[in-house]
Amino acid sequence: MATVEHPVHTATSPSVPTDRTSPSALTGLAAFGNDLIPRERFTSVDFLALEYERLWPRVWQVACRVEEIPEPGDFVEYAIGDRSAFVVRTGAGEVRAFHNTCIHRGTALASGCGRFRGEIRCPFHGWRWDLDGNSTFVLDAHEFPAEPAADLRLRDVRCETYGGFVFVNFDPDAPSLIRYLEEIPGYFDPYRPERMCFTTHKTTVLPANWKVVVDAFNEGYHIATTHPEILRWKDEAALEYTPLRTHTRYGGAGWPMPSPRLGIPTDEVDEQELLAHKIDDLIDNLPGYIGPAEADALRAVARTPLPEGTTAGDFYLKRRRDGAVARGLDWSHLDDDQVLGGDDLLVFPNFIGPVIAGAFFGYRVRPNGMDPHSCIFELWTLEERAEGQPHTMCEREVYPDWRSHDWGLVVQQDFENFEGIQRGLRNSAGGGLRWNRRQESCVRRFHEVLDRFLFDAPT
Amino acid sequence: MSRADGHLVRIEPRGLEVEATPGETVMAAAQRAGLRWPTVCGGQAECGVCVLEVLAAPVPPPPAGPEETDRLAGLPETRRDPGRALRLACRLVAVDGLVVAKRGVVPAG
Repeated sequence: MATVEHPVHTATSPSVPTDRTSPSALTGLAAFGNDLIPRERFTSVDFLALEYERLWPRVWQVACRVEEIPEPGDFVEYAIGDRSAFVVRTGAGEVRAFHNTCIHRGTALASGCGRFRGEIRCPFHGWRWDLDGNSTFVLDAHEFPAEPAADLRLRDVRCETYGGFVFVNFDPDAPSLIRYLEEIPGYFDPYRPERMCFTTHKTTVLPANWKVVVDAFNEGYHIATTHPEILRWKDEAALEYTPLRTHTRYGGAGWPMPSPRLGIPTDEVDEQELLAHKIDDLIDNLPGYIGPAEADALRAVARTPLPEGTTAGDFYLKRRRDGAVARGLDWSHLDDDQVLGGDDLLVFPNFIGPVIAGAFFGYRVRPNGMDPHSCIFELWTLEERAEGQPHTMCEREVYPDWRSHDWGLVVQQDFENFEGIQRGLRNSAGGGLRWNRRQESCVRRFHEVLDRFLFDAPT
Repeated sequence: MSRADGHLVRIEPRGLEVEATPGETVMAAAQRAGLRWPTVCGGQAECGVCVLEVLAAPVPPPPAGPEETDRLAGLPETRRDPGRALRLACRLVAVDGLVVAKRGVVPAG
């Protein structure tokens, strides 16, 4: 078995769990009248334990993408808390998942990602299984009590794909993935995620609760303060928030214009500068938001003199659409909002990010062992490929210290907030928290759905 | 204040004129004169939104300090066109005869 070691281990945590919560404080939002939000949900090790017990074993989670496992035997491990599964490409080209533990003495069978050579083999006593999980070899089998072949199978984990994403669910009785996703495909399908493939796969550890990080990317209310440079070309207050039943979406506000917060009269807006701001900011400060194949062409657009009477929005839209045609992509079914601004989607509970025509910029966030103040964060960027073009996997990058890497200005600005957010949340003298009713409505929905899993709260 | 003490600053493209007291920043002078200057952080050299271009300065104004220099370096227009004399209005101390360009500076109200 050739493997690439998984460099960030989820099961070990340097922190001694000291943040205990009295059982009575382990309550959902409803107990607080949906008014103030108890901060213990971000800091308590007991709350974290409840999530491990009631949330993670029951939800569909993105484990990997299909282009990571193109050949039979290719596998990717997905770990959450003390649970681990591995996704494997079978001989018939299907995708399956198994609990990552030997049925004999418990040894983990896969670590990180890599390729099983024909069969799955336990490194401890050499038991083997085919890629469909059927037992093929037990050393000195006659010295064990006879068991039906089915009992010697690897233990299956539910595994289904959507849009090239491989999801797993540890609950054998879970609804199908497509039912679980509810409205998500309605938003995601037009961008054809199945035609995208990885351009960036980065992993790091952030000093905040996993929900602090999900929440930070589930609203645009922080843009004015955390990313003020964006106000030059985006009316972020005009973002539309659409809390769905289980998942959330926000978007719109893609037309390049200065935020009204800047108070620039319409007739004083410099369209040429607006165009340059939007393109330069997206390419330089949020690398991967526009796919690398398009970024170079767009950079030239930022420096092209606008024809007389043309707005930055019209020009940008036309050049994006023309560029897509030149690269063999069909965006004819996408409306202007989807080309200009896209949709920010949260696939509950932990996969979130914006998708626009041609690219996806997503974050996968998981708790880090039993430390409620730490999470494992991944940045995944995908780019659309023309039909017939090969789907490839990029190099995986791991930064145990997030400060050791340049993430681009916008992500860097978000990261710099996290330590202070978590430290402030831990301040036991602080009272309840507040959410903006409109711009943080998706944050609220996320927590309401979380309560559905943790406390059977109605939503 | 007499004209002799004040530093006259002109703000293009509207040609607005304000008088700054010695040591006063361009943004503070404009706000004192009843103008609205684009800003998000309110003058803490954090947002970069108040950035202006110096068009003319008969006397060189005091140079940018480290926090202004850092913020300016993060602005896309600085990278795009390093030749432009860009400064933050919330840090640029006015000198007499200074001419700057900033869109969106309008009478408050």
